[in-house]
Amino acid sequence: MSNPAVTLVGDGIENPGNALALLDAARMFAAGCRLRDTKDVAASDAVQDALGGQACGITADEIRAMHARIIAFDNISGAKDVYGFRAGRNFAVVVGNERRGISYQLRELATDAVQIPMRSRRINCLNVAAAAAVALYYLCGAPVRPATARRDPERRRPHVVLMGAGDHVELGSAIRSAAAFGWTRAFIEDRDRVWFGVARAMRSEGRAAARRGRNDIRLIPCSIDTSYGFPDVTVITSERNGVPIHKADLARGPRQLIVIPDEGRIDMAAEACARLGRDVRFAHLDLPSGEGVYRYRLAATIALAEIARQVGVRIPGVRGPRRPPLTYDRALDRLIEAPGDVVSLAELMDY
Amino acid sequence: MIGRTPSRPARPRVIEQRPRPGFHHPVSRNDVLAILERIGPEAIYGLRSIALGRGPQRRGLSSFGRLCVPGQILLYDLPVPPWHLSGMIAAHDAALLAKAGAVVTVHGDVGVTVVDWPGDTLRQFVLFEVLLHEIGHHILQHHKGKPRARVARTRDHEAFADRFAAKCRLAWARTTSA
Repeated sequence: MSNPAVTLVGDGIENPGNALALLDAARMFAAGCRLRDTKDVAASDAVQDALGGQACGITADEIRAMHARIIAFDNISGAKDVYGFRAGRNFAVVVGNERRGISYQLRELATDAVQIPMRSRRINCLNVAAAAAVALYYLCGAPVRPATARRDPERRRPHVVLMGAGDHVELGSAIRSAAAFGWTRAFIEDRDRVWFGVARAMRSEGRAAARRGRNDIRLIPCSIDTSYGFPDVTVITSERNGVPIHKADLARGPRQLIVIPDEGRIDMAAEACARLGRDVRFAHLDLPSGEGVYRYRLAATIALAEIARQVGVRIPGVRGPRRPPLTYDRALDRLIEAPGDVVSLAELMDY
Repeated sequence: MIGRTPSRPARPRVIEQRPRPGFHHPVSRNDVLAILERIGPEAIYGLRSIALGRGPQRRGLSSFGRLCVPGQILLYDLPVPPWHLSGMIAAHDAALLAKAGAVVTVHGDVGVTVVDWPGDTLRQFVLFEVLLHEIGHHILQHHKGKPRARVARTRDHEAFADRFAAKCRLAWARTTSA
């Protein structure tokens, strides 16, 4: 059931795939979704099918008439962090065009500007639908604290495995999100062969979604029978299993593995979790919708955003750990150990 | 005219530290200064210091010297020869030491390698194979103007440093024989 008090507005979205994902993001959070359609994306067959003939267009004046509070969700100057931002109950969230962001007209109209803090220097934005899902999760859901300030937050960053994605674009967007939130490597369990060793067209689309040209995250392929062997494992599901993710401890550092499965493909109840590690816990994404809408990029990005919030930010003014200096050594190679036996002193004396 | 005209480029500081017990510095401060004088200003541009320091606190012998970018060269103290190394050194290392004049004897039955340095050979090895090699690394690194980034693949960096050291050694031999 749609919540008329919250409206997600896509401003100038030009990719029909993103428009569909925006509609799904709104349905996940039982919010309304409208498009300020300057690129004629609503005329595409895919979007028309998804809408079922309903009109989804909206103008700036209509947004202003519907909601007193209009939140521009973009990384513009002066934007507040979404973590800990209190939006109230009645608001519109505006997300912008994939390349240009929110138009000047809607930016002027907005009462607040909110952004997701990015950790990467190379990937400074998320997929628009993934960003919208994060916005709705934090603005509609249970209130959370701002990101924790730590002396060395990177020591709290866990490892992540993106498990069993069924679509290359969804997985690509999730990889982009992981890089944007500061991960430098991720495990990929590519069960449906959508990422590694795929046809050229699929490969190009997936890499484009992941912004692989700028995204230098290291992807480690893992098979279905990989034994990870981490002491702490947390599986994030959309089933009501375990604690909500904002109450789970997702920042236990490199000894922890966070598993983000594609639940459109994987039934975690039937998975052999013992291979993941010793202590396997579950945490769930608290999604208000009961309509069964699921998109991997949306769920994965929300999970990654929550982990990034818990990992935290560096205390302002505190310098990070110094990089080791660049050195060149003149040295002998490691000595080849001589074969021999270990003898005790008593044996030696007897000899 | 205000200010001074630099007549010669600033020389790097040469710092001498007391060696560990049982170790020594095969080259002296004067040896280092003499070779810097000989190779000219192009090589020492950007070089900040050359330290005759103590080696890493690991057991045995592994390192002769190190370049810390930007522009700091460390020449480690070395054991007094002959060196008794537990284990066998790699073939290319043995060839390098032998080429520098060392007498390398491998006792395979007991797993010991003995490296002896007759006469002045260890001093020359440190000057030409270690110091000039590290200066070669410095030249390549400094020439690219990226003080913190690795400007070439390690293999290429090492090859350049080796070529530079060989070229300097050849020039030194020519001038000495002339």
